Amino acid sequence: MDGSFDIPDPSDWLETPLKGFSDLENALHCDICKEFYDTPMITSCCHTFCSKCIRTCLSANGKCPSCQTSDQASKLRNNWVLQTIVDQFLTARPAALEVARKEKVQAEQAKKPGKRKRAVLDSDDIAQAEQDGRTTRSKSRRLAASQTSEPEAVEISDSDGDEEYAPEQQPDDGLIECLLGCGKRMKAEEMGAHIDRCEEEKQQEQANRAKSRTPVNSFSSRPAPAQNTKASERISELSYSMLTEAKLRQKLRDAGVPNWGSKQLMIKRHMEWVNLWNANCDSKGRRSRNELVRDLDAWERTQGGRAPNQNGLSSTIMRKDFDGTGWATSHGQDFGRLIADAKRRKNNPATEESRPKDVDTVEVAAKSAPGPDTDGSSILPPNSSQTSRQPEHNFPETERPYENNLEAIASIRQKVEAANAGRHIEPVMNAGFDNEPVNGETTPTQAENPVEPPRGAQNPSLLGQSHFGMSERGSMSRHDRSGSECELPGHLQSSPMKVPMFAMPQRPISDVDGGGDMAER
Amino acid sequence: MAGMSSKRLQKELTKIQGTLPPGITLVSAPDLREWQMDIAILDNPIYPPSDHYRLRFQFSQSYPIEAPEVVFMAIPSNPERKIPLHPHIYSNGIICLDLLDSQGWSPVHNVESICISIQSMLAGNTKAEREFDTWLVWVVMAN
Repeated sequence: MDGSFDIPDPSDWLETPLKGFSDLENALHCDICKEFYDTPMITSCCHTFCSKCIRTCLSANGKCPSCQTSDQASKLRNNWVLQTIVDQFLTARPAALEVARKEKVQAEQAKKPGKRKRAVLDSDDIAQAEQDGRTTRSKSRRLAASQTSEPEAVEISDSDGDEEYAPEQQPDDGLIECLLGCGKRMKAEEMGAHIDRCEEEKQQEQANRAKSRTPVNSFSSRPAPAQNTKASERISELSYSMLTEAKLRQKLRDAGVPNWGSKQLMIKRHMEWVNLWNANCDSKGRRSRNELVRDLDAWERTQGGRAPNQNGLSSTIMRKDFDGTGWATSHGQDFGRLIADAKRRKNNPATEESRPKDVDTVEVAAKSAPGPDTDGSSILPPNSSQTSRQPEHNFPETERPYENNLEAIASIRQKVEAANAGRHIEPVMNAGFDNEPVNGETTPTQAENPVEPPRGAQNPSLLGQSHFGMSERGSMSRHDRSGSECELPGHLQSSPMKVPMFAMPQRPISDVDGGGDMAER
Repeated sequence: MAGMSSKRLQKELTKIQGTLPPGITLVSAPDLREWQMDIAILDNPIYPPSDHYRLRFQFSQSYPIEAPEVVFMAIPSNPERKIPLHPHIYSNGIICLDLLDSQGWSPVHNVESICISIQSMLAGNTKAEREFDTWLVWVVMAN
């Protein structure tokens, strides 16, 4: 860490005789961002953090990071004393560090002939610091200018005692800045009177500003126009769960914030905006709205909707060793089909009831071949018993039970064509069994999707049903059919056993395989 | 503030490159998204002090608001790194520690404090066993 490049770090002090300053500097750091406190706020459990940091934390989980007590952003209060300490420390730091480093060099040159340098700053050191401070003015100015992250460093109130450390940073007008931080400068003797009315004046000014939107010239130490265009009202977080997506979008537009993206994203964006805005309200040197918008944009690029990997954000468990992209590609078709099915079902709710029958017949046609399914076919009884009874029952089968079965697919096509043509044919193995009306009903749906073998697995209506167990299914088949379900053979009645397997079929299993590989690795 | 995660990690890295508590070493930190640390357990006979265990930290953009992902890594050789036996450490290296969970996490923790926590979790262990593949249950439940 070389001082010429500027990122102040506590370790800077470790190489100097003033090692204790390292801890002092650490103590002036926020525990969340590990930077110097920026607008420190005190929580109701008496911990202190930067305004933006603690607001972000509280909106994330509503607890104090230090002690995990619940707290609310509205209960935060400014810790002005700490703000002043940090500002003063930052002002004094470059010169002090300079002195400390010089001290070290001298100590090395002296090669310790009996005279050890003091590690404590006493009056001699201060005197020396004063000199050094003056001789290295340009350097410390450079340092101060490079501390872009702490813009407050250059605009602080000061008292006479500290002048020697940063004499060039105060306008040399013999005035002192208001101790309450309103930014006004005045003669020392006026201070007492001013302090009495400082708060009042501030409020009055804010009211004026809000009314007229014209710059007020009281903030002499800051560039005026940008600050004053801003209203200083804090905004409150919305109860997002109560808002519809459209309303939230409207709110964002009203706030002048981008309002694209999903509801989740808009919620996050609004939270971020609220935090940025309120943190700005807390701070002494207010920034313009445009700067806040720029900050929000930076957030958008790193953590929001334009972040490089959005799925990397908060999927906590899945991400461990789980190949999400691989999973998505290998199952993309399935997802697509499920979505398509769901949409179809939504558009055409009438077919929901009739669908199961259709599946039955299709399935029977397919039963002659085992197909790639794992659990369904193994549980099913041999063909002989099915051919007679099969149509009695809804079989939500596993995915693509006859995917590789050309014979079955051909038979399905045949049926579909027949349905399109308005004819009715019986499945080969189901010949003579009576379910004409049902096939008649399904015609529109089939027409939409002429070739689509694996109905059972993809049909979300079946998926839905499959969670309800036997009674529900029973009632459905009862009013669908002629009450013959009681004749079902035992092995078919036990089919709800398979239902959960179907409802979340191979996912856990294949997942386990993936994880297992990882474990063996 | 958007660069909060990078800034903070940069600071932590600087600190870590300076001094670390005994038994904890930084192995690599190629960027500010993934770091590897080695830890040794100094006073527990179950884990000989000569054995080191590799931890992999992954940081999201929301760090430190969000916890990093910390897992043990198994490396077959050069240098060999095993996954320590512990009832709350699964065979694939996932660590079951409230600190790393979104509920238990707090932004005041840092890489060093996580390492110390894991170190002490191992140091206080008396059972050299795994809760056999409990993580499978987790994975299944997560789906």
